[in-house]
Amino acid sequence: MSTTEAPPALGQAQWRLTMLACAVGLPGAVLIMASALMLGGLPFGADPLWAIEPMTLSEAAALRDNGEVVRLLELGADVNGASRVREQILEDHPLVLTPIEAAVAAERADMVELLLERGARMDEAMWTRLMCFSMGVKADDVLTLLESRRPRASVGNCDAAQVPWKPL
Amino acid sequence: MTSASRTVPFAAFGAATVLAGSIGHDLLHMPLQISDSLSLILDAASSPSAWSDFRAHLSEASYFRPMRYATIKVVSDLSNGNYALGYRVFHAALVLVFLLLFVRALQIRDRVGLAAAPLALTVFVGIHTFLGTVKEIYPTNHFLQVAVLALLALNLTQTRGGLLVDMALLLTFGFAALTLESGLLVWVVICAAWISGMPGASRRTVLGATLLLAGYAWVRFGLFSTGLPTIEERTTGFLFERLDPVDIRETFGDRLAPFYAYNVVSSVLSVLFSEPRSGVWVSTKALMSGEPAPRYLVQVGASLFATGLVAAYVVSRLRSGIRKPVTLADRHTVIFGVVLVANAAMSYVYTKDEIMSVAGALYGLPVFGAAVYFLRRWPARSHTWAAAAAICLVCMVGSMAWAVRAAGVHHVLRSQAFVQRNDWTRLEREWRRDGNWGRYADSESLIRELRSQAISTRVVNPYFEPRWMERVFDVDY
Repeated sequence: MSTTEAPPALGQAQWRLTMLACAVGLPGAVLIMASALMLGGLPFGADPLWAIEPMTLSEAAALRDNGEVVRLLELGADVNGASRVREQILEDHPLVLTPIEAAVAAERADMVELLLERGARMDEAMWTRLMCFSMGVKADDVLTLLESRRPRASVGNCDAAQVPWKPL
Repeated sequence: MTSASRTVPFAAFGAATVLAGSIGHDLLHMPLQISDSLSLILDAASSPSAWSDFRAHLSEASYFRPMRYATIKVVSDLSNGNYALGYRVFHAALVLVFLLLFVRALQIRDRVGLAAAPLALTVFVGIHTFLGTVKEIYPTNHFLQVAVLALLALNLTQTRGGLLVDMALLLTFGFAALTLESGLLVWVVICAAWISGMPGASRRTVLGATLLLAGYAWVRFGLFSTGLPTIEERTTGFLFERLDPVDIRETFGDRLAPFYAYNVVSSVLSVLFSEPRSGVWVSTKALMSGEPAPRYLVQVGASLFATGLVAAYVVSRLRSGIRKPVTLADRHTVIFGVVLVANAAMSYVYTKDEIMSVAGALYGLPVFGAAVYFLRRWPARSHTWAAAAAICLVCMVGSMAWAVRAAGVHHVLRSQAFVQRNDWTRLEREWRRDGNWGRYADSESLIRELRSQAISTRVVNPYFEPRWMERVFDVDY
């Protein structure tokens, strides 16, 4: 069909204009309205764009959230205390881990270093336990870091070490 | 003036304010950035005045940006010790001005214009070059400042002109040129506005701005011997990878013309088609890998729609016998084209999305003009239902892609906030290693205060964001 035949009737043309105008403008208008709703909710405490999920220190360590780890520690959280790590973060089931175990499990050498700076315990037993756990989860960067922090008396025997879990 | 025609501009400015408000809200959650910001904040806090900062940065090796340092100092003083809040509020305010200037330049007068305004706004906010103006607080984002000044200049050229407008244009150009090298694009905006027949840009304005440009060149290259950036400055994208200066030398030797040409062409294509990004053909690479994330389709598809709209507009106007700009949309198209080429030419040494932020800011203007043009012609056209439905569908999909891109800005800013907050936890370790800790020993209490503010800023952990977001929304290249 030709596109240059007789012009459409006024009502039909108006309807088509409305359709095209909606096609062009509606998606953006929806975004603008959603933004307005979001801004309108702020005074009432509703902030969907910046909804903060509360987490434990060990969860923050597992989720490479250095900032949250430091914030929680500065609020008084125990750097050596075990806390819950919800399912799906490290394993299919919930775990109870110390922050440094969670950091090793997440293969985050940077987080391990931060926790050590912040006073995480590192005696011979803990070192051996973390080394064995790192080998188990194949956290090579963590292994390198731990090797540089090896306590003098440690032997590194994994046979008797109690690791949080042994990956399949 | 009817009540509808009075309401329309308010609605458009209201929409811009809402979008700016939502982005400003993000910015208030952003911790200050460390690598490009902290030393500048500390220097500004301890310097005696903005003027002394301006003078101290007149003579540098490759860059000439004294006004940038003066601005940082002014904001520092205005923040009255609460630097994190001061710089963030300044950034959010600039974003608001940025969007309002854009809407003002559109001159939306009726409902057809208003119908196209959401598309224009989502193009303006959704284009990847916009991200460079918001994702980092440097502590004052100089890319954003220059883009705002370019839009201010454009708005001034859209007035009736006169001596005051001329003076304002020259001031705008001077300020922009001394803030960042891309600020020279304000001169291009003024010249292109004059060529295209904008009423506020006269021969006198162009002459004055050109004299200022000559003065800039004399001061920069003659008086202070400030050179130009070289390829040794930083890494850049080339085809499917990033090259560092050694790689560039190995690949091109001393015959750098093809490399420069690649950067210029890449920069043009990047604004028009969202590919390549910072010189790297990320979408093509993802497509070749066989697992392209939907975001590549969204970005390139959105750009094909908008650039296609502008191309169709240009063809239609040329077919109508229009050989020089007549309407505002014609003028905007010419100005965008000229600025795009000039902006890309300035990226010859290395290409980066942020550098193209001025051209990116102007991209929405011809898109809006083209959309309004075709909307106005639509009722007079006689299409079959199938053709009309197909055109509506293409417009709807294209417009949705831009809305998705614009919505994705929040995602990028949340991701950036997470990274930047984490950076503060490594600061002391890394600054002690690099020797910065000793260098800024006198500012230790301020560093600790800024760090404390950054750490106490709550940010969203990406783990808790829906997985689809990282596949659909843009990422930081």
